[in-house]
Amino acid sequence: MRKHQFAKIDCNCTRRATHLKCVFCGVMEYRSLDEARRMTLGQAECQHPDAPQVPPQEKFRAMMGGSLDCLAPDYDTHFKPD
Amino acid sequence: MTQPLRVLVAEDDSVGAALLCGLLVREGHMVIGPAAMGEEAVRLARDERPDAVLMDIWLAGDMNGVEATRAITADFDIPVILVTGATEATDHDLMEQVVGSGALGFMSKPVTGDALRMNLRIVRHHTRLHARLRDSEQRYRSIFDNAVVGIYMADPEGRYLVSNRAFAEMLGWSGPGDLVSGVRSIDAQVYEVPGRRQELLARLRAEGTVAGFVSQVYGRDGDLLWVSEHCTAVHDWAGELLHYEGIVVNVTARIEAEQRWRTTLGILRSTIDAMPDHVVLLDLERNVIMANASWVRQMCGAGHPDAAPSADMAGQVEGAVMVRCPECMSEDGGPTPLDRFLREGGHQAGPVRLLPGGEACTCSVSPYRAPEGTVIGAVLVLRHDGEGCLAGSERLAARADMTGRRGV
Repeated sequence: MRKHQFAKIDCNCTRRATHLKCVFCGVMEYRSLDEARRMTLGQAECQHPDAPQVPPQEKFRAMMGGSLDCLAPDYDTHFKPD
Repeated sequence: MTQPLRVLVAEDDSVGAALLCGLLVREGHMVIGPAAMGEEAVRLARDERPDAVLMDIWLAGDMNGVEATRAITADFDIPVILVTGATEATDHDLMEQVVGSGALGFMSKPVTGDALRMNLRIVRHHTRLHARLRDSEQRYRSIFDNAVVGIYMADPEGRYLVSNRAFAEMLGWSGPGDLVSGVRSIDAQVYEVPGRRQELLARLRAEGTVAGFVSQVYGRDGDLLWVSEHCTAVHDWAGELLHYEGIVVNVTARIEAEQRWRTTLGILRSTIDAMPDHVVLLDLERNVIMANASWVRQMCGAGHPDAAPSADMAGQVEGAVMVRCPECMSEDGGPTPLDRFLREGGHQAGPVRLLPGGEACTCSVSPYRAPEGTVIGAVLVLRHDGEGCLAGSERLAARADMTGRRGV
């Protein structure tokens, strides 16, 4: 199973929730950063072949009631122009 | 049309008093008095609570207008306008006293209608501002007093300056006053670990604000409790440190629950690590999720740092590295118990040989279920042959089955 890697995009919104976009498949989510860090297995799955594999331990923990971290390491800067 | 004011007139000269009263009535205001003596003016102010006081400086009796003004502004918070024939030139000392009396305005005699009107407008404005300020202060005071979290202000020397009731009660004091006067040194009396406050101050100096600073502190009765502090250093315009402000939450229940949870987890880990058998939790793709110390020693060697302590493999393999189930082969060359489990499910057991090396073991595989009941993995127990993890009949059957077969 592969998981999304969400990064922030500019949305000019005044709410704390943020537009997040998967850097691989491009799917958009309107969520807070914390929500992106705690996604369920169903929410986290990404079909893009380049998306990272979910480590077995993380997946197992998610199945036991845990969650998956889907925030890209460079989430704050990935979509920002240099 | 503006609301008429209730104005107390304090004037010992009857002509002057009549003039002031006349002007006030002409402007539509209500007159209280006139009072000829300072003491009488203070009494009327206390009893009648006027909106404003016109106070002559020189009054009959022992109390002059400046002293009466001081009493009225301090005790009843009523705006006072002083009226006098004295000037800076004629009575310098008196004018010095006027400045510190708390009077809102000053009118020279003879008082004109314009001067009176202007001063009463100032009184109205002052009253409105004052009421707004009082409301605002009451609102914040109410938040401060009724907050369920502790709030305090402390000086850099280590004494509490202000505290709310919740904080005082959290530490076992009967009220904020008791806490402020009773705690002479926060460092010595409150924190359990010596130097803990200095640690907090050092972080405040470096970072300005510190959040979630968890410490053990003493209550007044000597009980220890855990608190989490969010603290900010407050500086003046020149950058000089004035005081610290802190918000405190009692997290004793949370910390104790964490300690109980750690103890329970430690017992479970020690129990599983004490077993001589290899115990491994696998997912359905044969990845090792967790294993006991015996298995870690087998896989990594006895000298490996991971071999002794925790059997939780997640910390070690989180991310890129995947630890796979140990390779083994069935004694009869057919599918191993794990293969049978992955194909058919249910409990599976049988003799196997661990690879490499060919160590003979009996292998038992049990399904591992998620909270909702779905099978998401397997618990695999590998026991050195002869010690037997199989039931007696299974062990006999397994040995009979192995008779005559060639070992690996």
